[in-house]
Amino acid sequence: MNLIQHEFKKILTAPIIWALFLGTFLMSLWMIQLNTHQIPQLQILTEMVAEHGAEIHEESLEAWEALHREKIQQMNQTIGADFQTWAEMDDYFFQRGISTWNLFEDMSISRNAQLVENYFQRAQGADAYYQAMDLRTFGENLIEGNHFSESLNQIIRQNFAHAQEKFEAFVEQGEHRYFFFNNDFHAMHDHLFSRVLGTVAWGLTILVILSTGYLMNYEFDYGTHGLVYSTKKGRKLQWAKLKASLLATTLFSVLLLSLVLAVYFTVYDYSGLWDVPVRSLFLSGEGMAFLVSRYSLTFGQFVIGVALVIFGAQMLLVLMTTTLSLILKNGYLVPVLMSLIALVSLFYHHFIPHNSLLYYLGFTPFRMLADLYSTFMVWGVSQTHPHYELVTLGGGLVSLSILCLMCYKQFSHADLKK
Amino acid sequence: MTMIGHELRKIFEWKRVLIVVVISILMHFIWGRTAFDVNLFTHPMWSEVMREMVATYGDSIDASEVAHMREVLNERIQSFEAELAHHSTIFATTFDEFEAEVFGNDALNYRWVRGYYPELDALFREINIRQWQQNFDVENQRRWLSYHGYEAEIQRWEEVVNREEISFFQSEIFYAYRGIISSVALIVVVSLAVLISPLYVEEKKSKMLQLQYSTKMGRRVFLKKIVAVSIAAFLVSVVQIGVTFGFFLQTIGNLFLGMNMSGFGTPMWYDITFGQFMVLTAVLVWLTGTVFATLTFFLSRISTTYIMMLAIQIVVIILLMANRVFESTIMDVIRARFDENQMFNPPFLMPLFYLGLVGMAVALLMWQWKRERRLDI
Repeated sequence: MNLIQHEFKKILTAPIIWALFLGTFLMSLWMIQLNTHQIPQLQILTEMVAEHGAEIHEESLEAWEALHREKIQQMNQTIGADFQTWAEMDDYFFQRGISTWNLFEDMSISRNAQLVENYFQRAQGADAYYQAMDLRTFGENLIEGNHFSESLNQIIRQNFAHAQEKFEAFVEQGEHRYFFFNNDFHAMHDHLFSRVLGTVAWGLTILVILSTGYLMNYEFDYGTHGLVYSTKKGRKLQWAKLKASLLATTLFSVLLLSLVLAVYFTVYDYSGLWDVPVRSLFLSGEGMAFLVSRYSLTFGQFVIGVALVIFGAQMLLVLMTTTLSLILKNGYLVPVLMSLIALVSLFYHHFIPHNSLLYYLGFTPFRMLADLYSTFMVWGVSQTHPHYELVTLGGGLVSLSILCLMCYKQFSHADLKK
Repeated sequence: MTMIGHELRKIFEWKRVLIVVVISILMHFIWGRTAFDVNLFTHPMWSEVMREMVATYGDSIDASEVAHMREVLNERIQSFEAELAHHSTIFATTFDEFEAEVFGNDALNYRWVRGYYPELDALFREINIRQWQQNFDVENQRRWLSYHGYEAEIQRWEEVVNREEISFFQSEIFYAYRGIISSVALIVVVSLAVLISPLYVEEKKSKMLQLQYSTKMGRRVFLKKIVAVSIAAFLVSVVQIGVTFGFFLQTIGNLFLGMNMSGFGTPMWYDITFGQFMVLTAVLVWLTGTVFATLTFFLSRISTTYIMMLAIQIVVIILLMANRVFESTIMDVIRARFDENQMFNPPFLMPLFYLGLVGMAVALLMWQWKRERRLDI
């Protein structure tokens, strides 16, 4: 225990680590504030949900209809006209070449009417829209738009067929019949998971790779390896270092994720929406960007799930860095090589043939962090796998642990001359 | 001289050189991969039409040649419409109707035309490309500029288009070359960072510095190292630019080498041919590389651990990548506006910027050299 404490102290006393931590946190704060101009519009939904519940049923639909009428009336009063819907108004002026920007002094009147109309109309047509939806067409579009090999086409078809089965089941259960922040208007899903948590994830990645690489190669970089590794404890010190790295990673991840999420959910009010299933039709969006979850989760569980995915990926990165350090024994080459690996696993699709290799190379922690936007969703190529995150994390953990052990075996007999 | 040779040998250590080669190839494929692509553009038809046009009109065009262009276009449209008449499945009878049908519908595009009417595909594309040339209509551009242009920019533009012969330079070439050269600049900076970073840290680790600084040669090692770093920066830039230009000149890009860049599409402050511009940007890549190499060297001198140096470098490189800084600083050096944000770019701004960059590097090194001479070891 004492050894782990000492090793742990080495990480905590490096000022640059804390500078990176602070930098990531400040960057996340900057990202969080980018959507604050939408808060007044978001409140329309939270107020309605507080009064009438998040579920779509007759009573709540009536309330939305009343709100819609009220907003349209307000709009009509402002421009002195008599339209039934916002779309009608927009179409009328568009055909006459008049921009709505010139009509409204306060654009929020028009925007609010449009938003409420969208909520109301889509909630009304939810069942019809979802029953007509076939996820397999997304798979066919993907195949048609790219020159994949036949084996990859088969995998994609199979995955989308599987997703479609699940989809039909939950449509019957009515999991989509819930109100949520309208993703087509506010893009809050993209904002939270891609911008904010993406910043956190990549900041943590840099932090974790650097701190682990630093600690693992500390003795070699400071020239104390000749002394330390010839003591009785000797090379077993690497275990203490690994444990300290895992501890530090846990500390940084938990601190950063909890701080950022706490700030995020104080700035943006999600009250009443925590129990809404992520398969809500408003979170899924419309058209080509249709996001549908592979699991049946509520929003609260989903956020925790994504945080766990980020945390798990960091654990894999610790193991990867440790393995490389055991081989290279150089504090400079290890992070450089890690960034090379990151480069390859992020951009491999540019230089490999588009066969099933394209699919399997997607199961890496780097790719998983880059696609944080669509975690647990049917999306892209690799993420159509029904258990993409579990396979990546589980498979990575097993294979990297074995690799790490093998490298340790080799390291414990290796010549200490660098 | 031998000292410099030793330092250079330390910089070009084989393990790191290997990493740099791999990183460069990867980055070329990721961002600048068009440099390896002989076709350069998405469709070979563009190259074909351009080859024909340059062969007919030469480096610049005048009013009669523009009229000829229009004639050829109308001829093509007529033959396309004649083709259309053979197709009973298409309702459109004129080219415009057909185009509106294709592009007005979200589900249809070029791929649809190729899939269902392969015999129309080539001509359809060709007409589209030729139509794009009609956008180089002076009146049209003047109207656009009067809304969006800046006064000095409009003045310069009027000066260019009021000539009898206007350059035929294509903005497509400009943007393709921009993608290539800005990624080369990034590759040079990254390669030099990998090569130069360990220069001082390595010596600090082996306690070599104390030994060196007490010899007769002593602290002038610092100056020798600076020379070695600049030579390394030069070598890396020359190799990277040489390879890139080697590939680029295989493409249709070489057709435009002798053309004046100040034409309709790309408003430049001066009359400069594309070949000269390539040399200018190559020099700027070298300059940028040298400045960043000296900054890396300075960072290597002041940081005590690898982790500190790496953290700063990674953050800087990610910022450079994400903001695509080199697209502005290298490609917009004599352009009337910054393309990304449509901001005005007066002719003196970029030279000032480079002066500041070099000044900063020199000042940092001088300051360090002053400290170095009386440093307590």
